[in-house]
Amino acid sequence: MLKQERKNVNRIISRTVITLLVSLGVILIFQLGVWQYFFHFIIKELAIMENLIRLVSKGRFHEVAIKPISPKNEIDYAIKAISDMANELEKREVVLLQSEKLAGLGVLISGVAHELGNPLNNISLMAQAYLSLYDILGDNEKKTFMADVITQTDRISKIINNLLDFSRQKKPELKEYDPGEIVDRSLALVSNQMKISNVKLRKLITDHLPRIYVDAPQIEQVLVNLYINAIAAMPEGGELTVAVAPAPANRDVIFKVKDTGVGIPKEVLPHIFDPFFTTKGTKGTGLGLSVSYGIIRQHHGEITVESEAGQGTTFLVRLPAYQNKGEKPDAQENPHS
Amino acid sequence: MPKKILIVDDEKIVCDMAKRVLEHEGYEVETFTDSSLALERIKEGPFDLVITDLKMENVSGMDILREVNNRYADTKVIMLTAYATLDAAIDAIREKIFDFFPKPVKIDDLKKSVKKALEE
Repeated sequence: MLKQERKNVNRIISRTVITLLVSLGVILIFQLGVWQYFFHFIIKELAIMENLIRLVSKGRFHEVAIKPISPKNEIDYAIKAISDMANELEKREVVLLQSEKLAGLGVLISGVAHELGNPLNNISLMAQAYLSLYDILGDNEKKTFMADVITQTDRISKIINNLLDFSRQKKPELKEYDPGEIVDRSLALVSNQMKISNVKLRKLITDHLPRIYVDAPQIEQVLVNLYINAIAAMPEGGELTVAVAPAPANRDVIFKVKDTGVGIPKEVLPHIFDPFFTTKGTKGTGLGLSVSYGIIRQHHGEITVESEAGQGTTFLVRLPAYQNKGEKPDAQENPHS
Repeated sequence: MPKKILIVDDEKIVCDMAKRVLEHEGYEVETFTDSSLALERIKEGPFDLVITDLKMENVSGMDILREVNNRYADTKVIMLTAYATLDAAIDAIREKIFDFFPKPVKIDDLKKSVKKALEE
């Protein structure tokens, strides 16, 4: 009787143990699954966040700010915060870019004012000569005079349009360009500045350069800024070398801007791309090179400097060549997908 | 013998217009838009008057002025410039110059100055 009773109890106990163990197993497996799911989800979201932060650190704000998301959880909120931050940074960068461009424009103005002086003087001379020689000029000569006046006014328009193009605030627009063409357009803006400052130009542009896919006004802004710095570094005049050559295997194009000026002291060199760092006192904004740095980085390129006090300075700007296979160098990786 | 004038300016129109007007006044005029060629020409023989721009590629107006003063005591120099700074004027006066005109040049004033230079 007692034996039977104990057997029963034992059976109940062992059944309970088994049930318990099975339940425990089921719970464990279920938890592992849930955990695995959440772990996977969190890792995935963190990867998105990491990608966004990486884009921000590279200055590619517009790629972060493109897709608005409606947050569902804390991680989404964090991602949205990063995206909002990129949006704000992008807006500020546009303002900074414009203010720096205007500062550069101030330097260009004196050169351009002088550049306008020549065609104005020509028109004035032609009008005076026309009046003073009116009675002895033949009809054809009179026509030639007036045709020359038109040529000179065209020259003035061209100078003014160049300046307007430079100063206008435009949305960055990426297009395919010949690097030599960009160099020529940027040099046109400083040609008179160079003449006034007694700076000779040495231009070396390799034939059949690979094309680049860039926002031309921005790259021109970078080059003009380098020229202005180079001219300022040569107060007694000197030589400005502007060279463009393909990098090995035509994957990149390298712009070189080299002066024979005062050079940059060793202790200053590490700071030249820092915002608001200037050696020009109140004449400089300290933004030129930092803005240039931002522009080149956004174009997935690189800007570097070599200099020694008294030995002149060389800036190198490397930009990726345009790979014409339907794939653009700035092909946007969608960070939210 | 008509008086001989040399005009040096990298703007062709300045050369052409000054030549037209001054030839009409009865002078013999030679022009150069390339200042280094003008410098070579000056070495070959004297002019009564040289009219030169200040800022030019390669050889500047100051180089022309020095070359003329070194070679020919009697040749007068009139300088034209679009960049009329006080420093430039002082430099030119130190090198002995007859007259100095900022651009845009008034042709009547230039004619008067040329006449005066060649009368002296």
